[in-house]
Amino acid sequence: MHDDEQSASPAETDTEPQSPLWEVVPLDRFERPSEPTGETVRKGLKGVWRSLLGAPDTEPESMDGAQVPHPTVGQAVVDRAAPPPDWSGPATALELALADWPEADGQTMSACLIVGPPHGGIGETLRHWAWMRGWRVLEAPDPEAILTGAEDWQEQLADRDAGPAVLPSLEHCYLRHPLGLGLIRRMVAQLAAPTIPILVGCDSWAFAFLGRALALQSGVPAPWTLQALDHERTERWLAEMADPALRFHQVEGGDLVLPPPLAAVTAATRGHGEGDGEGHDNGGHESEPVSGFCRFLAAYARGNPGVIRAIWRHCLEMAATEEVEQALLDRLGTPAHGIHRVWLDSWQKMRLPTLIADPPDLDQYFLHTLLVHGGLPEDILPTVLPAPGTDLGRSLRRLSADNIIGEYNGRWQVTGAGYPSVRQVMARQGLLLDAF
Amino acid sequence: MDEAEQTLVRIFNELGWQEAAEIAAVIAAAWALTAAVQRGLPWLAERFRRAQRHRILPFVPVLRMIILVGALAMLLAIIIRPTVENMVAILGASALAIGFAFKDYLSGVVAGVVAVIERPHRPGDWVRIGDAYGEVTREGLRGLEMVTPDDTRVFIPHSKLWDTAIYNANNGSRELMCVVRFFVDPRHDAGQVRSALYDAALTSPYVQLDLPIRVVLWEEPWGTHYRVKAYPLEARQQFHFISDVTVRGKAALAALGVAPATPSASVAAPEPQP
Repeated sequence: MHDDEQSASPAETDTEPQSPLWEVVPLDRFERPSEPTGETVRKGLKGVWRSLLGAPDTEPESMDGAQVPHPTVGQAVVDRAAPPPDWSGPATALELALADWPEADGQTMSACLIVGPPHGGIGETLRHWAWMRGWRVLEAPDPEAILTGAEDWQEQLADRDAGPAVLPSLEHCYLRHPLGLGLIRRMVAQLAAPTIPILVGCDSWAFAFLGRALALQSGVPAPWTLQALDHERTERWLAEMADPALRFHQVEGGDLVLPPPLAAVTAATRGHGEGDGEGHDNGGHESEPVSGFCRFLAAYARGNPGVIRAIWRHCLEMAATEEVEQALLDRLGTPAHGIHRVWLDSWQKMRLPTLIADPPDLDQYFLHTLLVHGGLPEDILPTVLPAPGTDLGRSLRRLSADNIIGEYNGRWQVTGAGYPSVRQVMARQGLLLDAF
Repeated sequence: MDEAEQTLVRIFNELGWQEAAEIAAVIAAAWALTAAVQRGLPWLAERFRRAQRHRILPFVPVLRMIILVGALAMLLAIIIRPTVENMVAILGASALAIGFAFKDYLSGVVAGVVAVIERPHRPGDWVRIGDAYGEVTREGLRGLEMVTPDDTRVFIPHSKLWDTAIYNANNGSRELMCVVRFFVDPRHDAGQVRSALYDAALTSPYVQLDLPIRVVLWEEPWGTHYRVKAYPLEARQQFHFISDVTVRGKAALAALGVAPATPSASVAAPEPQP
């Protein structure tokens, strides 16, 4: 592994972007995007107000869309604007970072740990990387097997014949239960002296809990992580992801939310020539200013790609198709054939899923337990949480209706759009936090 | 005017309507400020994060004492001509008269002042005084109020301070050690059981992971006595925490096949303490 070359830029183009879209860096080099100063002051004042009155930033909302007053763009447009991400970019960056790992002599066996926040794409990246290298992927054992030790499953970690392996979800290999720590204890000891090269992915909350409870950090090498997306990377990523026929404008002022796709800029430059700044088709407006929407988005999402995408989709679900002033339409002109405009409110007007500032204790522990396990199946919840199943069921339905949690692949998890709010409440309540 | 009357005239100011209004204003202001402090600070404390709650609540009795002393000083300045001789004379005479009439009451008030200075308990602390155990919710002039885990409000005069031991479980901090007891049959692998009980506390969502967890044990005639010592995230959660560790511990012991202790009729088990 070489620190100086641990970045890759699969999205590099002929314009030479300032920084690669995806970087894999040592954990101590992780940097969250900073939020605009005005937003910090606004949130500080709002926080004091909320502390005094115990009120949330906004009322928790349900996803029925009842409070959206204007016609919205529809799910099909949302899917075109923010389709499932392509994790080959982060996987290529990981490949570059781990170019010298494992050592070529084939004798030195070592483990490598990649840590990332919920929805940060670490699991998907590791799976893609395993596919690129042809390594086998070890799926975590069932929760029931963990409670009985999962010794059969653990033998895979030492199977020399099967070769190197990738374990994408270490957070799914333990339970916060007296019988649920035996496997992870043995695994930590095994990872300290592995018999095969093994790349391990771990959720940042599980990493924090295991670090505090089992001193995980002392048993494994220094972890790596996917660098956070700052606002510039966020703009680029979302723009690359979106259908090139879509243009995203702010309702107020008409500024672009995302820079136009590079191909459109190039075509516009060729089509209109230098000095042509007043065209009236799609090319003519590409020089319009880009709003600071993504600066707020990247900071609120803490640079977490999955959270950025989830909130972006949530904002798009509230975006209007025609709710703009005629004067603005006149100024922007008629879009070219095939170009579809989407109108978004300013960041400050967005109503995001928000957990109330002082939720019931059970909700707090429920959410924290989901975070430190990277999500849990519903049937195992009464085993790890100190409450009867009926109370948990009520908690689950309430949080689910508020879009704070959702079920993915059979596990209940904190949603990407609700995650920043949940993390803020966890911090406020003094619960164990991750480092991201 | 005889000599006694002249002495009184020398000591007291002439009290007219203006002085009466000033006295009423001082009393009303002191009452309003005291009420604001007694209700406002706990209200404010509830709205701050857990760690800050215990820093705010102890200011209640201190501020109330400052308000009381300030109001008394202002009243004396209105009623009495503020010379040293007058002060000595009036305080000496009133102390003698009031001391006999309200001995117990004054003992409580003085103990309240001592409690403010020595701070054997503060609002938010979990204390045991005599048979009562609970959270101190209010410290008044003459006594304190606590709420027991059974939601019973108990008033305890400060004068108990003179002759009763006060057990303070958290002493102004949010950390409060809980002890969870397990009594098991002596025929078992003690190392295994100790690890299992350690994990029972470690995995509780209520546990404060920054503070140590300890498991101690010793043999009794009827079996082995384990005590798991750990801290919940917040003192108020102590009973939830103890219950949760008990449930987890019993599950762990059952998985290990360890039987509970069965004291014989001749050997009584110790009474569990809360």
